[in-house]
Amino acid sequence: MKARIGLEIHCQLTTLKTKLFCGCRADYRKMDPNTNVCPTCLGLPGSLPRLNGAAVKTALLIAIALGCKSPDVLSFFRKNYFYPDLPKNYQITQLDIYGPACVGHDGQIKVDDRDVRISRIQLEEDPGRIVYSGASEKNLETLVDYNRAGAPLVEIVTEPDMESPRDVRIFLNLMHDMLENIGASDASLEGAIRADANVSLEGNNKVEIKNVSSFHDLEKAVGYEIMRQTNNIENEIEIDKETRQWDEKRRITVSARSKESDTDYRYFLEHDVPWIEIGNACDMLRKDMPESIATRRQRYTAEYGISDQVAEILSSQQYFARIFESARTDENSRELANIITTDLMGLLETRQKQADSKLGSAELGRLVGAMMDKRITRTSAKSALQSMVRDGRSFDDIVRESGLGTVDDESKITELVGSVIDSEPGLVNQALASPKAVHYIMGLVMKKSSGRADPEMVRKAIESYLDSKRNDAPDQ
Amino acid sequence: MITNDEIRAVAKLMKIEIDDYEEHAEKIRKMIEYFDHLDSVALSDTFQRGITVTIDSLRDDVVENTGAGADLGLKFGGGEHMHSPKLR
Amino acid sequence: MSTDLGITLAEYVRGVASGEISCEEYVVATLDRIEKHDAKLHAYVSVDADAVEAAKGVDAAVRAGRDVGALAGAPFGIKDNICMAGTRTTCCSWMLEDYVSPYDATVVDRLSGSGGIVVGKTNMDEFAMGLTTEFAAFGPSLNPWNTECVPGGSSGGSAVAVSALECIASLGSDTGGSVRNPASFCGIVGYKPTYGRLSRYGLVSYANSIEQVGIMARSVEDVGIVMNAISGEDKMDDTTRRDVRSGADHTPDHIADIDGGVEGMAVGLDVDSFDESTDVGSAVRRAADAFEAAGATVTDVHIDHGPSSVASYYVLTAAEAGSNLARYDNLRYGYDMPQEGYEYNAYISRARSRLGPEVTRRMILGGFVPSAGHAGKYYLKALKMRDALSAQVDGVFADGNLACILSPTVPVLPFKFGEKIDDPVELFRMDSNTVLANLTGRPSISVPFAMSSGLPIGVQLTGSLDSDAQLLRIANTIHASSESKGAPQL
Ligand SMILES: [Zn+2]
Repeated sequence: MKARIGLEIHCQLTTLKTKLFCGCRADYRKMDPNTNVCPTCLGLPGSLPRLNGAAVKTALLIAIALGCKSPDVLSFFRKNYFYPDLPKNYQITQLDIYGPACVGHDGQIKVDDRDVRISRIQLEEDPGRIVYSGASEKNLETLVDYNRAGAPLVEIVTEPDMESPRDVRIFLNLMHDMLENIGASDASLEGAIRADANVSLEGNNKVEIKNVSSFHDLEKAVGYEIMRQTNNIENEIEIDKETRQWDEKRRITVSARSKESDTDYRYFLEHDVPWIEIGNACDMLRKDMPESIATRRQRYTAEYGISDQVAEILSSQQYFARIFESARTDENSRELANIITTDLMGLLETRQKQADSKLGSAELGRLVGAMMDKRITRTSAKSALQSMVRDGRSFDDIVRESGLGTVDDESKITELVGSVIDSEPGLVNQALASPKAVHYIMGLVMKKSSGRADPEMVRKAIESYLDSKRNDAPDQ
Repeated sequence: MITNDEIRAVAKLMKIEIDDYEEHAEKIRKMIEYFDHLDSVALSDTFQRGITVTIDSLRDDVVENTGAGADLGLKFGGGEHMHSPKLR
Repeated sequence: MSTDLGITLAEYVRGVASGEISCEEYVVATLDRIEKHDAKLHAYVSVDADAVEAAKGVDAAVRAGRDVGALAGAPFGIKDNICMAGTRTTCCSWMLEDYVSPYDATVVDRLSGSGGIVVGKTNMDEFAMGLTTEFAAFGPSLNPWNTECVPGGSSGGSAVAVSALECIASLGSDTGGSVRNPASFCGIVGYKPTYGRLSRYGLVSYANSIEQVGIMARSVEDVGIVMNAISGEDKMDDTTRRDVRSGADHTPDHIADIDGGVEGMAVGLDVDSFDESTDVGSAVRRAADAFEAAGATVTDVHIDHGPSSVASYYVLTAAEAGSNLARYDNLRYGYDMPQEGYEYNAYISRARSRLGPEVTRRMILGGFVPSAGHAGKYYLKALKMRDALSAQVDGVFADGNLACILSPTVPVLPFKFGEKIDDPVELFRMDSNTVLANLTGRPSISVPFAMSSGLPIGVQLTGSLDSDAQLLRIANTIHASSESKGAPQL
């Protein structure tokens, strides 16, 4: 029986500086509770929402990236319900029930070989955060922090076009990379992306899965839910239309005794926020739209001859793709791509490290050039790169000061080989008998040169040394 | 006609405990009956737009609130959590 | 020498500038009058004695030749649903009995910025829901013309204060006539501008899609002076931004042409809004005659004041109020009520039972009319009714090339306390002329025009969107022929 899975993804627009409707910080993380608040995001009497224009643009950018249509004019609605994390006891959000008014609708995105349709994208405010604290499970206090209240959030709703947990994983990863790529969100920040799923088996009721803390768990929850529903159907047990929650400890979904069913949200127009005429904003945004990951990946393989695997890694992260593009020449593409994906990504694995990096792309180009000309070895390059990232020193300075330049003087290498063999004379006979010992000698020579000796020349020097020994030996 | 049970359900939805129930119920019924005058309204499909502005006239994304320190007259201070009654 | 408190704001400002009037003396006399009469009239719910200090500052500035602003220390009353930093803003509800706002409403900020002095916060129906002040939680205000009669509402305190000379001018709020209705009942000028012209930042929302801060004063010119001081775009209220379609300037000069007269203008007489055999109706007819005498042409027009407009108004306001007042859950601010022993829903339901009876009923209506099962029959129809009404009025204005339409502000004379409070539908009918301007966003003003049985009668003029300056000019003309002059004898 085919499963139909749809997703609702909540993504904070973390690249913005302020909340959706006030001048408080969008980045509420690592703050003392209730210090990032003002009359508006606390819903004090008389306060009014003041829409962040940049949030509208960023949301439209997401709509464009997901191939959505946008209406000429946007409007906002109130979703009314009481909850302690909601300062006004309504949430300002968007809705399409009276005609298109959300930032985007009817989009489509390719996920592997299938199309996933996007129903709509709506811009809305995040609620505050509830934390439970107390000595025992029984005596938990319900505490609320409004620092997050009003943070700019985009909800992306898909049609139920996915069929397996694997589809869900691929889709979420794609979404994660896309949001980062267009600069809408730093998706790796805690709580920046949350997703709910709905699962149904053909012809049966739909079950919503909520409050799953990670993508990984959502994949598991969807898998569990398909299994549970399949079992029920096999045993002729009807599937309830309900909301279920993922129990992290037991790794199952449990019925949430839905509060949804008895809540009437009384949606209606939010008149405190004016209608927003989009005008040519979408055209302008489309013009400045970063290249999509898929297009970029294809370009890297087709035009630069980079392997598919490397291109995939490189294209999905805009930060590295940008460095790559600006340091790239017609000659260095493959070498540059390799050093970025193997060495640089390891050095700069977090956004913070990327922000702190002092590496300039021109310097990176110089380093790759030196590698290609064999003026520096791979090992030396790696240690130079570290220093360039950390201190921002120029490549030439590093080579000059620490002598990382490749040793490619034939006489010097011959001398090195000689001194290594002199220190362990027994090696010669072993080497004559087995190529393994040749590699061992090579290793010793490289070590002695601190990795600077040109490996090819070293091999040749060893070979010629051994040849001379073979010639010296009496014929047998 | 709105029934007493419906009125009770809406009062619950709106989170208001009512003491003098009968007096309210009668007035509410009168008001809702008056609203039936809307039945004569012919329906069109569209809504009139409200005040419409361009994106560029909206607020700039600039931090205005320095956060801590301001006395907002709340039941809890900056740096403290708000206490809520138990949810369930 | 006793201070003449009955002068207009314009006269006061000129007097202060020329040194003939001492701001301190005027403010002290105002506070004395409040002290003497307000225990009975109850126009104010709180009075600021510090006003005298501010007034001394104004006099010192005048002596030093410094600018004292367009309002020159004039004493104002501010409706208690408009926030002022550091003072209580209760909305005359037990729910917000001790609530102190941390910030100034934009209109208060601008009023003070132009030299106005706030002497106190004025009484109102709880959360502005009502039109008699009988729903004020801390007791009603009395009509100074006849204290057995209601002063109108919901901005009753603001009207009484101006009428009884307990301030020069005041701010109220007008959701369905809440400024014009009490202005009419108390014999003063009450004006609701085009929606979006005055900032609502700091005005506690009741029905945010249609309400505006309004100005109450003894003359139309005074309204214009205050408008010039406080109107215009506000970055704290997105609905004050210029509409891309009309592009109208929200800060024109509201007094430059105020004496320009009505020669050649067309006034539509809203003939379905009054019964000529009543005192109110005949006053409106005389106002029409006065317009003709002043050179305007008056033509009969027909506008739908039927119950469907009023129903639309009450459905929309209930729906919006249900949402706007949801924040009063007593968790973040409010009154002392310990949480022990309560679960969340029980706590806030108990806490919200402090809302008064009328507000409670509106909350229930507000939960009912936009709910999933009923929105189609009530809320959506009300929205469409509003649209239809706008279109109809646009048509009437275009057809007659009208500058404004004339009607009574309220169909009846001020009535006695308790007379209508038990019949909600009877109260609905009192709004039949005033809600039009709110539902359509248009500017509207009530001007005292006649007296009957010792009670004032106001006529209402409603203009086109953004024609505020012109509307004040027309109102000023008709006010000049007003049969009613002077203040009530207390
Ligand atoms: Zn804020």
